[in-house]
Amino acid sequence: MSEEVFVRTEGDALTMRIIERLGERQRKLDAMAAWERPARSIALRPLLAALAVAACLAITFVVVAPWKKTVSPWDELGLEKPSVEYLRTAAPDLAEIQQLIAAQNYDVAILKTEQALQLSDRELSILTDALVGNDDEMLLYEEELEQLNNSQLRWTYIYLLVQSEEYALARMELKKYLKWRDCPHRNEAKALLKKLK
Amino acid sequence: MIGATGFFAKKQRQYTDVEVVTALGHRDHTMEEWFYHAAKRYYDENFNQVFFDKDRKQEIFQTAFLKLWTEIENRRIRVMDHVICRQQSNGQYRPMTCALTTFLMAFARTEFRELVRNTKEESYGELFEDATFADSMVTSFDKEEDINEQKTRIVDECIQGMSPTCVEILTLFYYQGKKLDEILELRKDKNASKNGLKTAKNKCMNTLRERITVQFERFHL
Repeated sequence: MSEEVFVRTEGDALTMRIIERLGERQRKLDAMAAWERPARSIALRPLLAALAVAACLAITFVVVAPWKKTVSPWDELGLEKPSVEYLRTAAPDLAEIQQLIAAQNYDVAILKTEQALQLSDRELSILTDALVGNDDEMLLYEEELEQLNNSQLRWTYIYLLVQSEEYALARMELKKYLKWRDCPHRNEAKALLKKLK
Repeated sequence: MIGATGFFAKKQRQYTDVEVVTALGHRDHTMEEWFYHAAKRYYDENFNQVFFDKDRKQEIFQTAFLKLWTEIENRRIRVMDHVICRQQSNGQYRPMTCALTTFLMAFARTEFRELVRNTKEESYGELFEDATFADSMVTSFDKEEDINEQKTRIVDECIQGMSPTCVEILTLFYYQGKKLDEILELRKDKNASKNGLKTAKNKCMNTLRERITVQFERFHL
């Protein structure tokens, strides 16, 4: 058999069966890609329009906004806004909180985050209790997801507490946040805790 | 029943899971497309608890859908006496106690879990046998099942168990008949050298053949 290019007549029965199934798999992938094309282009139209409006607004804010020059507690402490990129397992609540933050509706955002965090803490505690002496795969998975969700909610809460200059509470939440070994902003959280002390 | 939701819901025909499985088993392309969009709508509406970038979400959906579609086409999931059944690893068919879309979501969740844990699940079968089948609903094992069909199913499952990189290289070389240089060009950022690619291609094919052979022997095929 050639090493450079495969010659079909040289393949044995098993190879030919594998090729046939690889082809069938490819047919399905191609079909799915084709079905996505029109759906995507239609679905993208409002999204593109929204993006264009958002871009215009952003430019207006950058150029015109007079309050831009004031320094926020976030700037002082070097804290970046939680981004959607790391919110891999976020609950719908967090999406709403993100929107509230984007709209600078911080008072409602902080209330919403507190509520969601309380629910998540409770859920996490139930799952942790259920896992005592139990290694059920599904429960472990649920707990893992809830832990991620909880951590993301808490990080957003800390961000909002800093904005409200509630530093004592932020310190307390940071300590809770750092308790989870895998928290995604460990270094940032440690640095922030140091600054707030 | 899987139905269209939203503004156009009333205008679109709805199909039962039994109709979907029957039509997909006969490779009805119109139904394939309809089922894809219906499943996608359901997934978009119900997979909100885990959102991240759109491409990953789409990738998880397509992998899960491909797996479900392949199972139906290979008659691992089939209609028996007007009931949808799924074959277990011991060859027995049992009625499915959940809807196709629920099953799709289970596949999707497993895919997501792999993404979170960054590990490959060894077998989907064991995970779902316990979760989705009621013990009291065992139906008779179809002993006259075509050997060819069984072999096809095993090859498909072994392909699904390979890494995406391996499957891509094998598809390009064996199915699409691309030369190693062409594959290298297509995947220039993923494989540093032609020798590396050649080794990877041989390794992938040998591993796949080995896995298939073991399964064929296991089932005396």
